Amino acid sequence: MRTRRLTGLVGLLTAGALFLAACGDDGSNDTTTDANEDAAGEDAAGDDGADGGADDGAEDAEEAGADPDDAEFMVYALLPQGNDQPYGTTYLPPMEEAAAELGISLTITNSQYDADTQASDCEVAVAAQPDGIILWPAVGDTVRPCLQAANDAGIPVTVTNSDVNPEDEELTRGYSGPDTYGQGAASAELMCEFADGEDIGIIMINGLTGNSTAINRENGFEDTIDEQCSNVEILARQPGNWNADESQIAASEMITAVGAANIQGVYAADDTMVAGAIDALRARDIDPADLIITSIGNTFLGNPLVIDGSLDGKVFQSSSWDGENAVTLMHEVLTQDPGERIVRFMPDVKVTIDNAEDPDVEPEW
Amino acid sequence: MTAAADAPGGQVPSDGDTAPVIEARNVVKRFGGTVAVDDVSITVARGEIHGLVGENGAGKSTLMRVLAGVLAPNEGEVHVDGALLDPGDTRAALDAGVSLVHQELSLVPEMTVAENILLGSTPTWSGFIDGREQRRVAAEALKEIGVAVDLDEPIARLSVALRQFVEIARAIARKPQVLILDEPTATLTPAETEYLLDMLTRLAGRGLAIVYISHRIPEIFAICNRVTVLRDGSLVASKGIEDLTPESVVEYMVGRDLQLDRESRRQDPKIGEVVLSARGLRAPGVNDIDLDVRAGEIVGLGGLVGAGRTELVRAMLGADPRTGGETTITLQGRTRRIVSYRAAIAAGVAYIPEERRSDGLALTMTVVDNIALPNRSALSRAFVLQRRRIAEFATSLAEAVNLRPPEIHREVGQYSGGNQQKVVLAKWLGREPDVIVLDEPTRGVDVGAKVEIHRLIRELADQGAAVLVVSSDLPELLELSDTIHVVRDGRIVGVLSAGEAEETTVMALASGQREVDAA
Amino acid sequence: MSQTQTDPRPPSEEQADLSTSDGLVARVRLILSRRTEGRAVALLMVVWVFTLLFEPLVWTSYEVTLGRIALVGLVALGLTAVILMGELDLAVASTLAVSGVIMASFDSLAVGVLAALATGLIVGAVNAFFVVVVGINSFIATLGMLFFLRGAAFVISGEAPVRIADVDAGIAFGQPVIGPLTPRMLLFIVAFVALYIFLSHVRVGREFYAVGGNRQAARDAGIPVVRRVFTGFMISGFISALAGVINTLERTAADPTAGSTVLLASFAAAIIGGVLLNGGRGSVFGTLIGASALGMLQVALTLSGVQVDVQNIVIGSVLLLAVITDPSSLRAAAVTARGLFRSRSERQPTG
Repeated sequence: MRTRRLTGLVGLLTAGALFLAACGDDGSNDTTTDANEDAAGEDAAGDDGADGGADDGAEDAEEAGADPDDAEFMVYALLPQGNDQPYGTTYLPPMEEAAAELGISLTITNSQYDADTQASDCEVAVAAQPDGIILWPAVGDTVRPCLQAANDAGIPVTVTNSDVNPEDEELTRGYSGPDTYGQGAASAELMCEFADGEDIGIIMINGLTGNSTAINRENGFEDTIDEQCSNVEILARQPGNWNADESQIAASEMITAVGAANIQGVYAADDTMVAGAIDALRARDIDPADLIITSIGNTFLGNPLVIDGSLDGKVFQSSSWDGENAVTLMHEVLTQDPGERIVRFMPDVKVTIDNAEDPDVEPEW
Repeated sequence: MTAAADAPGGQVPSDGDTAPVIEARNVVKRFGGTVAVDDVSITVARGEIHGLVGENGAGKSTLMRVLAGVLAPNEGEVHVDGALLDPGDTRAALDAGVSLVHQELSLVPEMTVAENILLGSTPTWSGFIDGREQRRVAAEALKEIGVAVDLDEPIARLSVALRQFVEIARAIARKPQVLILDEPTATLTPAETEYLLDMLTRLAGRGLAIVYISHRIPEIFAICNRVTVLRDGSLVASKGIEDLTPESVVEYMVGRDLQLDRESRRQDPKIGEVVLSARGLRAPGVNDIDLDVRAGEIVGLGGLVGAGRTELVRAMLGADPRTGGETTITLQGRTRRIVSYRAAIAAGVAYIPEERRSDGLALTMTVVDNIALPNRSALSRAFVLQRRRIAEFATSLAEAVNLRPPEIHREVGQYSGGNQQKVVLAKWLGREPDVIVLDEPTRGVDVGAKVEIHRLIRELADQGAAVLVVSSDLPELLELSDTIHVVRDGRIVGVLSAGEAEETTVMALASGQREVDAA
Repeated sequence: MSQTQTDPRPPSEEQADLSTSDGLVARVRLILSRRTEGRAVALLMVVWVFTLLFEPLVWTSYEVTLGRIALVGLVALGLTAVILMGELDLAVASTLAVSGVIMASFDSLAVGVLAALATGLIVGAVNAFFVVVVGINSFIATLGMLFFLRGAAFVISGEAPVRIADVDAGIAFGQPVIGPLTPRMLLFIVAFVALYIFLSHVRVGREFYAVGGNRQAARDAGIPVVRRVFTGFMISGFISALAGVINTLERTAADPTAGSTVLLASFAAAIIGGVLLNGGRGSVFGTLIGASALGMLQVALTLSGVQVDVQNIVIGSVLLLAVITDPSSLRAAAVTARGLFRSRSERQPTG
């Protein structure tokens, strides 16, 4: 069904292209361009049975999900990222695999962290009246109207990756994903452990400003530092927006502002950003091995840094666990109708040089 | 012969019977260091058509913009009906009844004829546009100048000529006392020009004061009562038309005697072997052309607009694709086939197309950069450009083409059209081309620059270059060419030598004795 | 004076042509040929056919589609006023974010809304100040404003989303009031009608076309260009702030990162709607059609489960198509094509 739709789309858009070209051609009698357009038209006609080139990727993604015709459930997944980010890239395949196994037909949207787009996607999803909606909030504070609308339409909502605000929990049926606050806390515990009671100053690189994961990790880290090791002082903090380059710039600026000599540690809210921060250190001729550095994630980028000693410790986050459990939780809600809200946290495994090469913390993204 | 000696500097003649409507007193306008208008006073009376002439860069446009309140003068003042005009206030000038018809069309392309005619004075009803009144006033203005255009047509869909008339209608719609027109005929056909001139005479007859700026001396003599000549920003003559002749006006403009230059056809040109040769050339609009240009010879291509001359030249040089035939260039006994425009350039061809602004020059670059551009390889030693040598080279070329002012580090865009054309010529002159092809080399160029350009073209031929010139300007064609080929419908319909060519014979050939469909 | 002779051509030549083709059909053709929205209408029709055939849900849940059109289109309407004058306003999305944050910072919703709208007007005035008084290119001036306001939104919000004072009022704001129409759609319609009348029937608005089409001419005609540019930027700022207010109310919180997809979508809607980036050509009607086509396309693609990357490819292609099918671009392309291909059939001889 989907394949036909997409082929239709390609065909119609090509027809539209011809139509537009014909309109725009008004007044210009250039036979050469007409000939070209005709050729383009024939190409498109030839595509009728086969897949349109540009849409291959999307179709593969769709096909990987499930054959919608014999799917048991139809579910919308409103995500703020997809193949445009490394986490999303490894989050999606296990999610789609799990959906295929469990007979769920998934329609995935990507709002690119724009709350308004996600709200609009949500309206679209509610209008389509699926069996369930999996929500990964782009901005936690803004999802209430969406949850309300889904509730009013009797569509169960489960939350993945980062939980909604406590007051909105009643409108959702469950959460699966990392305990983002706990991750920050676990990373802080690592930091405390390595600091070992000494007075040290650290700089802090946070995620995208306003994003709930970023806020929770920051709070988790900071609260735990305050409670467990007041000997660690956060000298400066800046957002790195989940991005290595921006993190490198942020780190570099903070090193300049605080003075390299005063910094004995670095915390970054994820592996991508910690890699940027380590690059910033190296650019200043500071050996990252001399500093206490912790982060969250354990990615392909971050894992080798642990093994080579630049990065001291981190909290493992499994994107595949995250994606898979988003679907299994929804399936549970749909089939077993548990009475109360399910909360399923991803286990916070601490990764240091001692266990960095263990298979159960093998990087995924 | 009555040279600059008796040019009256800034005299204001006073006519007893008609009071001046607009009067400029001792206007000075400077742009940075250059004085564009230097102490000029003029008066225009009701019902008078006052010609304002001068070479490009003489300060006509600046003076006119001061009169219309677009520019504030540094010194001096403008009076309308005896009242001082607020300097640099366009609105005040409009209210006082001074309307300006610009050289660059100043219409808004996507707005309708009616909207453009009332632009800036749109009738409104508490802020909302009164469409009916707008159309009424616009229709009236168009009727007054006797032109019929659909009021709802966007300007972008009108021909250039009609736009010019809409522009005039706009000026008329403001019920002006003074109408200033800057080169209104530059884009018009002869028939349209004639219509315009009649119209202006009619308007003047109804008491409008008109300031008419033009390069075209015959137009000045056709309609003006009085002529003011500017040169280098100063007023050199202001006389009644009866005291002037076309020759004396030109002399005032250029400040020297042009008779010799103007009337000299080339004497005993040294014509050598065939250099540029086309055989059986075919292309869209070009039918089976054979054409030879010899070393030292100037061949002119005459004909009506649309006869296929530009197509012929472009196909010949490979600048546009051909459908048949071939072109060769023979130099020092070696014959090369010209299969592409690159090959033509490599073989020593200099091609100066009609649209010099788009094709020939980089307007934001300096004169020296423009001149050095095509001559880079000749000037670089071990791939390093030598600034001093380039500057010397450019200066000598700028002097050779009489660039004014000869400031080689100025941006080309700051020069007038004629001077820009000189830069184009200088640029190619520096390459000492063996073949030079010019398409309308003096279109839009003032008289003085035109003479200079003709001199340069002759010099190039005297140096042994084979020169091919396309020109719609019949006197120019006759004056320059050693041989004239007349083109009609993409065919060469006649070949005339310098001796036997007359305006009438060329025109007869070009028109085929009958009207030719210009489309 | 040129000696070349051509047919004597009376200046009323075109009029003669018109009067000969004075049928109703010819009249309609003439009127259509003067409109600038042709390509947007064509695209919209293609989208209609596509959605009717493959995604009828776009039509059956039309309130969702209308909501998306209003979301995409509102900022584009204000932007159109600026683009018509040949200027750009890159700060629209940041204005949206900062006004939402300002609104949410007040304890009273009413005061917050007024403060947010005032912010939009001030931002517009400051943009215009830089563009026409200081003389900075509007691309650069508003780019600076984009960063400034985004930063301001973070600082004011304390780098986190700000919940509005009355969350229930916000949720109520998202509900339909007249039929299926939510306040967002109603405000969108009001903004459209107001701008349509302003730009086509009010002198000040109509003069925007003159300012964009030929600024020197506008100046020469005595139009106060500076004031017009101020008005245009303030309209754009106001509409962006209005969009910020609506978004914040509907989401019940102001997000300092809001509007990340707004800027490009608004420009896309205006361009697809036939608004010329150089100014002087286009209409809010075109922008409305552009926004409709874009909104419907987005909803349809989302319903079909097309990934956002592919959606972007589709929208990008549509945008390019809209630009390259512009008659003036086509003419340029035709000239290039002539140079590339030998098979040329007819060409007007030029000299």
